[in-house]
Amino acid sequence: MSVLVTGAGRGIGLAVTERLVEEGAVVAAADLSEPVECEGAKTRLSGDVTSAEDVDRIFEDAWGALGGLDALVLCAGIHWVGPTHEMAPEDFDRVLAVSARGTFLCCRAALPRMADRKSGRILTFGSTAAVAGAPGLTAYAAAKGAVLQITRSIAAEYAHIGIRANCLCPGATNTPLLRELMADRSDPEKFRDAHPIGRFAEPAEIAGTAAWLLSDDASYMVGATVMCDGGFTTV
Amino acid sequence: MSGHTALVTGGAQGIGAAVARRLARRGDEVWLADLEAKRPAGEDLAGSLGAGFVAIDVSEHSSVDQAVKGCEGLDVLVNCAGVTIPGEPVDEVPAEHWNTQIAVNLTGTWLCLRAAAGSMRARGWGRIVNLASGLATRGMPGSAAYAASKAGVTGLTRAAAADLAPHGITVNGVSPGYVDTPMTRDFPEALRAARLGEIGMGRFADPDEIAAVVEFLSSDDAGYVTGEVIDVTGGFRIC
Repeated sequence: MSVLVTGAGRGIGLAVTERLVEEGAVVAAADLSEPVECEGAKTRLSGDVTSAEDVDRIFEDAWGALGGLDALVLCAGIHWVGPTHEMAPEDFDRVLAVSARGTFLCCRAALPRMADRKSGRILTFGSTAAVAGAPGLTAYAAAKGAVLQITRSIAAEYAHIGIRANCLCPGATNTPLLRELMADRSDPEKFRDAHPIGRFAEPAEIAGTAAWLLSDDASYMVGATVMCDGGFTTV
Repeated sequence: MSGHTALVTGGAQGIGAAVARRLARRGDEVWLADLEAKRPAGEDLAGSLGAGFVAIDVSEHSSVDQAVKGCEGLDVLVNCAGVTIPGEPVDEVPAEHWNTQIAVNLTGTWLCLRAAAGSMRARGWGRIVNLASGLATRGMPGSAAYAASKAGVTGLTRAAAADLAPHGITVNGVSPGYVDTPMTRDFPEALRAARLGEIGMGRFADPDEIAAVVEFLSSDDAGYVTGEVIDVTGGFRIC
């Protein structure tokens, strides 16, 4: 399986890349600028998913390096945390741009290539914030909600030609991003304890679910929203 | 070998049989549980999988306890046993039909879950997967009792997940859309075409595609997924 992963430089994107490589996939690992650490990636690319030019270049390079594209995994995302009334309009726009516009641009680049082969898998990354309120993360929640609906719409539009699009929604995951967020909170234990499972996810646990959604075992999964959140949104 | 011991109710046929095949293939010690009347088919399948068969009526407390007691080291439970009596408008459902569907689909799922949770708590690891249905959330004519029972399964799944998560036990549901079964193959052509037109992939699921999702939810990889009811619909009614 040939796969392009965005946001592959750290956190969940890195864990997904490592897992796919471990399973024998040929992976193009893309991120904004930082060098992607995963040694097993076939090629490492850099670019801004909010730029149509960058996205087109990334896809051309990935296509060339991988000799095709069976799957696209969109992990690139940023957040802005703080009171909503203190958020600058440009901060809101930037968070939306990376997740919503970035997801659109990457899908826009991938879909014709996948349609030509009548086969493809697109896995987007939502969040528990896509379906539940997230205080202090209004832009992030809006962006992830947009990702969810982009995914469902693409799934409905392209399922009949063999392209499966699904959205994986992780809960709080033990990544550098979460550690930054928790450092700013006075009550990280309270947030952790709101998860029935009693702990945050490890990136590898999210990667395991991602690998399954990309596999043939998920062949009838289309437009699905899969929460991997230790029960956070069930209570 | 996975080292797990799995009990699959409704295991003699349909999705339950597909689940049993999957779990046996990955190396679980599998017990197929089904009604005494299904014993011939259940024992045939169990024999071909190197599995065991145990008679169960999931709506009967004593039958469930006895069946579960025989499965030593049980740490995977898949509740597939279900019954549907379709085509009865809500104000014409006989009380007996209502009670049967609630007793098997909802109470039966709870009785099995309750009986199995003890050994899972003791091991600090468990996987419970319940078969829900797309009808739990989408109104379809003539399905009131079945829909109510499956909506109950969804609520039970979420609450049980919250109760059992601290003990290392995940509880999830799988909500299939239309599955290629003898029943759907017998749909009148017009009905079949109408349903297929509502499915993004333009086809019904193979039972094995539903079983594949159950297999994932009962794996180590799904350790952080709990309280979820996953739609496996091929894009039903999103198109």
